Amino acid sequence: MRLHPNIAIVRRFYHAFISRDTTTLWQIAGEDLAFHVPGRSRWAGEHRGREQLLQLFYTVGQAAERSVKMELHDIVGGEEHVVGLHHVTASLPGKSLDLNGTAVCHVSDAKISEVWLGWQSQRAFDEFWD
Amino acid sequence: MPISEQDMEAVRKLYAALLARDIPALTRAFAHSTYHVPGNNIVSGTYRGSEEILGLFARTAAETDNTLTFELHDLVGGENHIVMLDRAVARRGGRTLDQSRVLIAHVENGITTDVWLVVDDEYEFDEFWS
Repeated sequence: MRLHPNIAIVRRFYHAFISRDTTTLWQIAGEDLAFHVPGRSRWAGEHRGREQLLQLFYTVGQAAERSVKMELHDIVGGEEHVVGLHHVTASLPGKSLDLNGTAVCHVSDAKISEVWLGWQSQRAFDEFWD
Repeated sequence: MPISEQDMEAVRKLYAALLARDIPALTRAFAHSTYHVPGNNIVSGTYRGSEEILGLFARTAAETDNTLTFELHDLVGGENHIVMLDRAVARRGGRTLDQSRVLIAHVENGITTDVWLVVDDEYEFDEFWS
């Protein structure tokens, strides 16, 4: 099976996130991108637009004392949806995060317009950020 | 190497068998599978093999008075995974569940070995299945 071209776009986005390449993130994120974080943590809710998204990434990085590490497992996708499968670790004094997660993305005109995050254990994610 | 058309077809058929409640087909398909259900509720946990997995399905159908229905939104492949995006609706003891789900399947040579479920709202999922 040939991989859908939208997969390459989301892959670039992940790599840009991992290498903190904000220029590329800016290029791939749609102007009005809606980024949905599930659960009940302080990050939960919708973050809209590139600026809010970069602000979110920056604030999360600060809050985790720069310990957030993401490893990409696979990206699956087609015309309508692309789904990133990743593993995230982070640590703070006395607690650590070690979780598989999903990112369901909508891609249109080579830009990411919407992202819905999901976690293997929402509780584990929320408790880490308590 | 990306997921083959044959593996995509196997998972498509598996999902169709789930909708049709085709017990013989599901028994064959899940013989060597593991199914992971998130959360902290009566259906959370890891189910191994057809007997346990079909036992779970029978239980969820009975607990919801056969109101549990699924609607497949998309089925997409990548390097090593196939992901199904669907919607589950059910009623149980005065509560209604209506969730978007991500099902991550590991497939090898047409055999589904491992399925991980990620739900939209784990807290709501727990309340429904409390």
